[in-house]
Formats: sequence, structure tokens, C-alpha cells
Amino acid sequence: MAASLSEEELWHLFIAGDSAAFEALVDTTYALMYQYGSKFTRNTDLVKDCIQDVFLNVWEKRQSLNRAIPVRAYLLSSLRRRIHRKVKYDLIDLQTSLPESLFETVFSIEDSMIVREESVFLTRKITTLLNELPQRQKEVIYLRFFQDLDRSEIAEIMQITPQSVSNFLQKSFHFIRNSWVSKVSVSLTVFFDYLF
Amino acid sequence: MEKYLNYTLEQLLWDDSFRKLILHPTPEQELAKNKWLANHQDQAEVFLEAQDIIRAVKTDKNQLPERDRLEAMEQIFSNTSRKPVLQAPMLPLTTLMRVAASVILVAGLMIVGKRMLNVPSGFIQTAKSENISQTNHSRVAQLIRLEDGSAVVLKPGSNITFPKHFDKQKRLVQLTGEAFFEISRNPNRPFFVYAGKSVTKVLGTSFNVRAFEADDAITVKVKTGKVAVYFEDKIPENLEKPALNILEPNEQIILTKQDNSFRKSNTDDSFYSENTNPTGQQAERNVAELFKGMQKFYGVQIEFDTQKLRNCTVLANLTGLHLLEKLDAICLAINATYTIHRGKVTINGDGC
Repeated sequence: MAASLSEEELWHLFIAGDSAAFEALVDTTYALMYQYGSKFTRNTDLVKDCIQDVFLNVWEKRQSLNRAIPVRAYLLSSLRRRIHRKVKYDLIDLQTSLPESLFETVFSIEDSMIVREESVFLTRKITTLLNELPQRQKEVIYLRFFQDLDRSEIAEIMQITPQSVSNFLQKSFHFIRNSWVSKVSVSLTVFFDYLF
Repeated sequence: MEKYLNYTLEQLLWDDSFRKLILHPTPEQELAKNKWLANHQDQAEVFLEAQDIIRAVKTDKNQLPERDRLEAMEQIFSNTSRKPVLQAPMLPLTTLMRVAASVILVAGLMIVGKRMLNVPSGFIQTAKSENISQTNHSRVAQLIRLEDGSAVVLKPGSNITFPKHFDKQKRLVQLTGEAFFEISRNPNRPFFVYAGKSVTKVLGTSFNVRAFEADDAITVKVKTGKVAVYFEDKIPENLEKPALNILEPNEQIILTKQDNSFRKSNTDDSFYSENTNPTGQQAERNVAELFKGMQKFYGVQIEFDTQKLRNCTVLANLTGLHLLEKLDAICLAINATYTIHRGKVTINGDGC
């Protein structure tokens, strides 16, 4: 295992005045921030601008930053706020109504990862269900399972309470479970009908 | 593992520790998992199904091309960490020799050195116009392949700067810290390592340069071939001038910074003798063992699948070959390929 420093360690060093640590932090988090930011807009330049703003801001405020915050969550939430602010202005210009959340992502399947033929059906099903989730539930699922963030970090990023994060997750699970059971049993019934 | 026995498919899908086990297993976990599966065939079906789903469901990646990413980061740095009045830490290497003695360069070097050496941290690679600068912020040595096929094993806390494309007449690199070099032979295009107050000139050889800002002395040790060592201010424009000293294999020179004195001696370091190089003997050797030996010898991480390469052997005399040549030779023999990413070598092959 490469013994590189963690984001937290880099953060501490950076606040202590180390600019190489700052550059290393940008290097390790940039792709992730870009990935998350791109879920809110297709304007890639806007995403890049916002990421730059986040880091410029962090750099300028380095004297007064808190050492003990979860770094990744802090960066992602700053980015999210900035993008929302900018996109909101753009939308006002265009006189369009503002959606509650802008998060958009499509879950899909990497076929090459499936080893067992039998899994294909179920994987398709669950992917379809994930894509049917409302935006905010999708965002929670994305942050929780595809970015490995915990409840409080997600709450910080999305500006909601940790309890709401749990609620969103429960709702999503519930939706998937219910639809899953009914759809699987329906298709099984069809299958049996066909057999007999 | 036992706790998964009574889990339903859905419980497995959203279980943190299970996802971790599937997506980022340690080698031990991978083994334990396979063993467990073999012993619990009844539960294996649900387990494998969950594994397939977890691995296969993905979100749109929105990946930024690496070039754009570097460019965007460069822009951030130029407005933050590299903004201060001093915009010139990266002097073009081609003019390096001409201004070698000037105060500006020394100041510039000291600033780069300070900034780069202060902290061991992640890995930064920046492409600035024509020069590439790489700093090893990790705690292990990192392998860098230069465009001429030479290898640099960059030690922790060290920085190396080299042009994207070498000059036609000479190959120049600038080092702060310590590195082991294996230079591909080309008498028409000598290789220069510029480090602190020393310049080391070689034609094709392997040697180590240690020139940390904080050290009192600069050390150059030779493993194979001949190298010429100069004091920085002793080589103005003509590089064909007589050297301060010529070193032969297993010799070293220590330049003391304070009074510009030097001392030449034999390397007491058995590390550099070819005998201890485990890849040196001519015999049928297990490939995994060879890689492990190289890893130990060079201090570079070489990652490979122990299981897959279990039965791979090569019959070859690797004595005197450079690291990259050894990797080329072994991979060719076992029908594998290798990549170097962030200083680490990864072997990709299906085994024998």
C-alpha cells in the first residue's frame, strides 16, 4: 500500500502553512469534485470555475480555517453551494423555474463485471429502480454508496439534518424493496404461466 | 464472514462492510472470502449475486481528461500556491547551464527545494510548458521512466525536474534530494544530473545522487559504468572541460558544501554490489521471487497477482540489466505487460 498522507493530514499541514500539502490536496480531490459537480450541470467550464473558486477561497481563508472538519465533505458542500448559486442566476436570467434539486445522474451497468448469467436480470432490475428514484434520494444514494461518505458528511454537503439523510435512505430502500418484490413475482408468474 | 450467513440479498447490497469487502478487499480478505464461499455453497448463490450487482452498478463517471485536469489544477496553483512574486522556480533547463553560477538560480533552487522538501504528502505531477517536475511526497521510492528509456528511482522527499523532450546533444535533469539513476547508454547524448552544487555527467550507467537541501554534503555513488563529477561553478559553458573527478564502479565522492572540498572513497555499501542483486544469477527463477527481489533492491513498489504468477518462471541472465530492461525482459517472457503509475509498477498478466 502506498503510504501517502490522508486528506485530513494534508489539510492539517496546509493550514499549518505548507503549500505543497495544498497542491497535493488539490491533486487528490480534483477528480472527485469534478465528478460530483458535473452531476448538477452539463456546463463543464462552470464546474471547473466553481472548483477553482472553492480552492481560491480555501487558500485565502487558510489562516482562519478549522483544522478538525471532514475535509471531503467540506469541499463538496462548498462546491455544491457555489454551483447552485451560479446555476440559479443563470436560470433567473432565462426566466425558468428553479427545480428543487439539480442533481442528475444515471445509474448503469458495467456488463463485464457480471460473472453469473443469473445476476444480469436482477442487476438490470435494481439499476432501473435506482434511476426511478427522486433526485434527492438519488443524491443521497450516490454520496453514500458511490462516494463512501457517512450520514453526517452527507448532511453537511446537502445542508439537511442527519435524520433527513436517514429518512431519504429508508425511503429509497423501501421503494426498491416494494417494487422489487412485486416485479420479481410478476415476472415469475409470467414465467410459470408460460411453462404450464 | 459468518455474519453474512443469514443475510438476504438486499441486506447484503446495502451493507457497508460487505460492500467494502467486495469493492476494496485486502489480499487476506480475498482469500478468506474464497475459502468461505467454498465451504458455504448453499449461501454462495446469494453472495455471488450480491457481488455481481455491487460490482456492476455504476454511475456516469463524468471524467475530465487528464490533460484538462492538469491544466485546471495549474490554473488554481498559479492563483494560490505559486502566486507569490517569485514566479520563476521553474527555469527552462536548456538555459540552466548558462546561468548556472548566477545567484538567481541558486535562490530559485532553494525556493523549490524548500517548498518541495518540507512535507512528505501525496503525489504531485505538474506539466509546466516544457518541463516536467515530479515530487515524491510518499514514504516509498517511486519509479519514473524518462523518454530516453532511462529510469529514475526517486526517493521520498525528493524532486526531479526534466524537460518533456530532451535536447539533441544532451540530456539534463535537475534533482533536489536523492535518486538512483539507470541511464540508457548513448555516447552522443551525455546525461547530466544537476543537483545542488554538483553536476554529474554520464554516458550510460547506474549511480545514486544524494543532494538534500538540509545535508551538509552531496554524495554521488556509482554502481556501474563511469561518471564524471563537477562542481557547479567549475563547468561554465564548456561541458567537455576536465571533471573534478571520475568515478568507477563502487566508488563514491562526497562534496562538502561549506568549503567546496571533496573526498573520494570506495562505497562501503554492499547494497550496490551486483552479487546481492537477486536478479543477477543465471538460473531458472520464479517470476514472483524476481519481482520481490527487485522491489527490495530498488525500493520501488511492484504490484502483481501472486496467485496468477505462481507458476511463472524465466530462464535468463539478468545481470547488468537496468530495472526497466529487466521488467521488459520478464514481461516479454511471461506474456505480460506493465504500467508505471504514480511511481508504482503494476504487472498485468494472466499467468503461465
